[in-house]
Amino acid sequence: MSAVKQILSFILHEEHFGLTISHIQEVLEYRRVTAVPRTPAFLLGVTNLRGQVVPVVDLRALFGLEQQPLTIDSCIIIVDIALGDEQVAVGLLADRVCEVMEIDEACLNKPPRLGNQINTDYIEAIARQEDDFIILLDLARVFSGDEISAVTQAVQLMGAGVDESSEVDS
Amino acid sequence: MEQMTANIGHSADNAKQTEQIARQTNLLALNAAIEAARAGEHGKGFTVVAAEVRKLAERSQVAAGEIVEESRNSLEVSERAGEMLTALVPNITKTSDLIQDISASALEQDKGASEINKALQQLDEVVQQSAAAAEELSAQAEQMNSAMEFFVVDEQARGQHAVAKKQPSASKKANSTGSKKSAAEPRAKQEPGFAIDLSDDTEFVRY
Repeated sequence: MSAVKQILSFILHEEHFGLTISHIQEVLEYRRVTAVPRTPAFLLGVTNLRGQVVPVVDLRALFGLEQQPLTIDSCIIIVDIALGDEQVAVGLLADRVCEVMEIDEACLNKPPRLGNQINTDYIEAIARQEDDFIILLDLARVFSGDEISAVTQAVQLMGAGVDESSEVDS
Repeated sequence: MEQMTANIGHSADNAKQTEQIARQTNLLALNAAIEAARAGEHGKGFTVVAAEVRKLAERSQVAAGEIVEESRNSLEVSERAGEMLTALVPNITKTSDLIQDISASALEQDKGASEINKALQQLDEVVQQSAAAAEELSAQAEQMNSAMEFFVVDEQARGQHAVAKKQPSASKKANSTGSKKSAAEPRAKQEPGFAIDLSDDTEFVRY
């Protein structure tokens, strides 16, 4: 029996994407995000997750996809990414979250080099699932270099402020 | 009708609420599945449960969505029916007015008919009275006739009396015809046509 990989599938721009389950903390309903000034466009802002400040990234903006209005199905997927030697929680805005599924490693293909809407650096693999493809994202590569520094900056910028406001709230 | 619309709206709200709950259950199940997957081998059984819960939530979400859609449709239909009924009201009022008019006219007709009835009864009374009077008269006349039988009138005297009675009327008649004739005579002379004098036609204008 070949190894299986557990992933969380979600939909973005009518395409199926997947994230390895071990990176995922939880899925939230879309909630108000506090915009942070002087941050890149892909950074929607920060949200308060049980007192923890979590930056929220708009995957559409990050991947250069057309912007769409939020729907009732819009979700924020909280993922853990490695930042140096510490783990940081980051929210990813997705159009819809589908399900937790198991994918046979045998169904995983290497990403093609060309002809994708997305820079293939982000893609860990492409999984065949019946007639559909699921694009598995490599979080470590999605948030690398400039992106991660922007995110961490935002966290540092807003950390104190949100903590204060959460105290005021409580 | 309004209550029905309100009820449908209410059940649509309920269905929306159910949809919302189903969505949240779905999300919860997803999170449970994520937790179970992170727990690795120990969470395997729970993954299956979570997946089942998620499927149920998805189904109830779909069902609630259908209910919302259907109640929206029936809301539309009942609103339309309400509009139609409201449109009917003026016509019904008009019909009611017309019926009231008819009723008033019928009442008046009834009054008229009873008056006619009364008048006819009066007429009947009068006729009967006059019939009675006539009968009485006839009885008296017969009585008189039988009383007159008692007298014997001389035939000659009777005839003279008749002539004397006739003459003045005859002369009167002759008188009246005579005067008529004298009046007719000058007219008879003029009668054969008009003598039209064409020489003097200054009165006419030629065109």
